[in-house]
Amino acid sequence: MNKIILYFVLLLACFSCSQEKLYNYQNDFELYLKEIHHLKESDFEETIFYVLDVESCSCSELNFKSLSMLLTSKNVVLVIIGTSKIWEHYKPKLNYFTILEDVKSEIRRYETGLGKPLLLHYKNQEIIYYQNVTDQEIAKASAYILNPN
Amino acid sequence: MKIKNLYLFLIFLLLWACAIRESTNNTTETSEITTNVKIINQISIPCDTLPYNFEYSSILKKDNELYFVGLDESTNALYFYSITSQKFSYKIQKSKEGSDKVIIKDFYIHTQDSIFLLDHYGKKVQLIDSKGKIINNLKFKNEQNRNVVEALSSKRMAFFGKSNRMILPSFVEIEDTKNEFYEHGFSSLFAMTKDSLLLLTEIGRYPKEYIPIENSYYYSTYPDMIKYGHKLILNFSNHHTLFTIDMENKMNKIIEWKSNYLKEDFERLSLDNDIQQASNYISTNGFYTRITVDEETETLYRIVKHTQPLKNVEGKLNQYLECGFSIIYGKLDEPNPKEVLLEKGKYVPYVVHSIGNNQLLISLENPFNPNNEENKLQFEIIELK
Repeated sequence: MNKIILYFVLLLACFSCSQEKLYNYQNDFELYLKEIHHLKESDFEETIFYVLDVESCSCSELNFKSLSMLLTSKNVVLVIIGTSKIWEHYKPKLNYFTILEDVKSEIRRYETGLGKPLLLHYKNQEIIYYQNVTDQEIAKASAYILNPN
Repeated sequence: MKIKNLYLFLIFLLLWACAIRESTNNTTETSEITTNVKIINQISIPCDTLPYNFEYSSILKKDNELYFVGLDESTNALYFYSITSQKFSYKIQKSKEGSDKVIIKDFYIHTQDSIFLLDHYGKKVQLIDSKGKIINNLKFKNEQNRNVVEALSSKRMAFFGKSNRMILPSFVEIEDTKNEFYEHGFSSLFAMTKDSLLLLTEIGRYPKEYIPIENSYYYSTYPDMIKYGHKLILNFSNHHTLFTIDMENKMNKIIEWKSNYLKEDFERLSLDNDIQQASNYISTNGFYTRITVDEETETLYRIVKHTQPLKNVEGKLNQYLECGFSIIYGKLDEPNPKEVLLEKGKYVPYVVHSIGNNQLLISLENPFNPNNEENKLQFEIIELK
């Protein structure tokens, strides 16, 4: 009997671990992409989203420099929030990525946890990797894009 | 049936009485509410390709002309817009390269020919004249071990010409979620010589209410500071009392100026917040934002941000500049200052400068202002009496 209880406790623990979310704002983030950028469920099958606020984050240039050195753009979508001269400068250099622009910063109407850039990797409509890209971890984000999973 | 209705009525009465009592307990009125915002002038300056959004701004009076001065970090320049003639006047562009380079993070206008520029990460302070010509590069003489100079829009620089003392915004490298953070000052005092700045001491002290309790704190801790005579006036966002601090690091309470739109107690944020929770906290809670002072008439203006719901009727997040704001104002020793409510979504209440004669220059560049014209930098001059 005790073994059965222990089995259930472990099963429950495993279940709760697998349900633990990496990223707390998945619902609103997807709602934002669907309502503002008209994405569909199928757009979350195999995509890496890199979300960057070019008006508020002084880190834009560092991120763009790093992204412009990548030779792969497979399944990577840059979501650019706001407008800035730095973005206008880098835009032609990054045009091999799929780019979604949110000029009016509509993302601010949604709870997405955006401050420093967000890196979110979707596979089969689930987030399998999440990174809040601090200045010290820009290289780590680029390394993940080069070699995801 | 009638008895049932009577019971319902009594319950309703009881709930109403409780609500009234709670409301009375939470919002003790100290200021007199007025509604007399008198619009003196509308200012509209064409700015097709010029910047119009400034985190750091000031005013300058020169040759009977009033200028709005804004720092544009992306072009590393100070832009001078004439309020008097409603046109862009000139800019001071600084180089980011070379021996005299300076990456402007903040500025302080002492006189029309003495403008101090704070360099990136507080590497130096450059003194220039009104044309941008370098008068001096002031280098830091001694090591800043604990309190490191760095610009912050609320903690501005200040220079005291008679004593050659300069106050610069500085930060201890301790998380503001730790109690130890509140044992340190929030600015640094320097003695200025011809070409250097000598650190004398860190200054400032947080009120005891700012120390984190029960795993929560006020989040936005730094006070807004403004020079007044030979002292600074301190405006803490989550404290009804205004303070002064002098060059000897003596902090005194001036007076309690509580807004009618704020409760007695301020909400706190959990110490283990994430950026979204912090953003929601700032958006929904009420607190004091900026102060501006008219030294001639000894009138102080204190800007108040009101509370607002997290989401609008469409279920989307309300934005910071959509909420209500008011201004408390009066003589510095006035125990019952006036408070005026600003029209919602019209102004940018943190871009506001006292220009004398009971008048304020206040920005209209609120993105939720439907009357704000594209390609124009717009202000109102309002009078508060």
